[in-house]
Amino acid sequence: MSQNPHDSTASSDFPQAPEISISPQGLRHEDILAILVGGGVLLLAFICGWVSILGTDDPHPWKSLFGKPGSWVSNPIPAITKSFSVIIMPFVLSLLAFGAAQKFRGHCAKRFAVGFAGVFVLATVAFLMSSQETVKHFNLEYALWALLLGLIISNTIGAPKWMQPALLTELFVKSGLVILGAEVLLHRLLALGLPGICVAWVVTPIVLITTYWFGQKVLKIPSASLNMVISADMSVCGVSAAIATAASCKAKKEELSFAIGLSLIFTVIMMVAMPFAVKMLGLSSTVGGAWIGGTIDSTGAVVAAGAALDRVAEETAATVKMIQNILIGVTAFGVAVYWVTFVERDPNGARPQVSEIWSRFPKFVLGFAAASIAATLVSRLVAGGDELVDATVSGATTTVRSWFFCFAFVCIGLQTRFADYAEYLVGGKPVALYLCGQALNLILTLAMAQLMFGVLFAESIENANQEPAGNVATQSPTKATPEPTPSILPEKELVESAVPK
Amino acid sequence: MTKSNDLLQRRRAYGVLGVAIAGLLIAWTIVLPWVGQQKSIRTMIDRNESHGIDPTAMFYTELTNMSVQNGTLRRIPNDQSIEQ
Repeated sequence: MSQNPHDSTASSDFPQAPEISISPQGLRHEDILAILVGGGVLLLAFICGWVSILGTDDPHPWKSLFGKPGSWVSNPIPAITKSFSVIIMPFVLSLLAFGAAQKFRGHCAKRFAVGFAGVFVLATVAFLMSSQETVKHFNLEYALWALLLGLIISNTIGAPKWMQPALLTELFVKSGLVILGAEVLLHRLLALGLPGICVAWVVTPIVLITTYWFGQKVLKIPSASLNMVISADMSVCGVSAAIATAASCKAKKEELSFAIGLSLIFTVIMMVAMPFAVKMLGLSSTVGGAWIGGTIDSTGAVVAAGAALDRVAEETAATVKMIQNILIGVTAFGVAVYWVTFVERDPNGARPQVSEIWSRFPKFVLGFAAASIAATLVSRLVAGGDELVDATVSGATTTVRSWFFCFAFVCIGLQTRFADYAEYLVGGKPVALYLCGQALNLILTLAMAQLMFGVLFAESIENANQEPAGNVATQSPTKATPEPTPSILPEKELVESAVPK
Repeated sequence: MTKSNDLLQRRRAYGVLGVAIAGLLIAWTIVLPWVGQQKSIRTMIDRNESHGIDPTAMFYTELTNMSVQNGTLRRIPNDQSIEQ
């Protein structure tokens, strides 16, 4: 690894590629292929949704075709056999999309197909491992198991040669990120109202920037990209933020996987500890929920920890996290711009020209932003668009991008040695960075949550929470008795921030 | 000599891989199910299940039992709930 933070891209695994031009050569650029694959999947999913469900309440047609192995307790075989039919389509779609991309790049599609079958089997096993009941409820996501499976193979018998043509980490990650863009609906940034926006928008950037600065100036972490990936996954939203920023700042594969491992370990600890901390401090449900939502990295773990308190805390936590989730778009774009403008430039040279910045800019981020803007416009401007986007995203594209990310983590594991991680553990600086950043995050988020939900808006939130249930259903799918609608917004703000249909 | 060393190393590598796979199988089919039955863990699992929470959700769009309505996340009703 480079000792100079400004050299961090020298051995990057998300490297700077040749300048893109509108020529057959330029179109074979990895970022452009990722935009074509990710954008193609999105377009296909939206067209299928448009044709079959626009104006109806029906689920997206892909929902019954695309899936992952189901949950199991001690015997995984029924989970595989039951979900066999829904894991075939992700295989076929991925094989066709990435096979075509490889063919377009001038590689042998047949050799890719053989290797990809192996990657897909490992990805399926990783999903199966993550869907074991206990593992699932401790939020130990598939990324960890995909990585572990790859690492076990690469550190024992080595990655088989026949799988090498399919180890396309970057293409899988970037295509998945373009698809993720459609889930970043910009108008939902305003969904929570002022108290939540202050918690999610003010604290998150402060923690991200301060942690990165602390890592560079105080801890002097040798790799700026590792510093950025840890800072982003800790302050924004865990694994998804780590993937997006790693690609934006061209981090090494092992830096991404190390940051994710760190995040998942602390997520488990915080998921268990935070509800106790909220009770010990005697915080209200809304303050506690906002604190949990703003600090625990992973979205699922946030909801689980909130539910350990009560329904109001659960909803508050989930909503604050949703706003943080959407910040992933701003973060990825901001990090990409910052990286090409400041980190990658020669410290002794002149300020880079716009053309130079453009040539270094990770172009897939534009695909990510375009997907986000297009989905937002469809959601806002098309009649029935909000339902169409929700159904397409939740019924189709989240599953596809989960598979793409899982392939990427299998590839990272297969291309990494355990020894590659040793340097990150020596001196414990990355762990210290995470701990210091999270400590700051806990303090600032608690202060902002207390100020917003406990002082400034306390009365109106309390009144809103006592409102009886209206048309909006509040009942848990398995609960028999209805409960009052928990709302974390003053009633007026609920109306004002309503998403128009 | 080199050939037999290679063969030995390869056998050892496959042996380690076999042990790792066996370890994973034991952990996932015996140890983890047992851990999941312990009282405190069971309570957490049952609570999550009853609330329809998927703790492995990576992004808010994967919280399939929550829906963005009227500007905030609300639980969706029984008849509209999406089957996991």
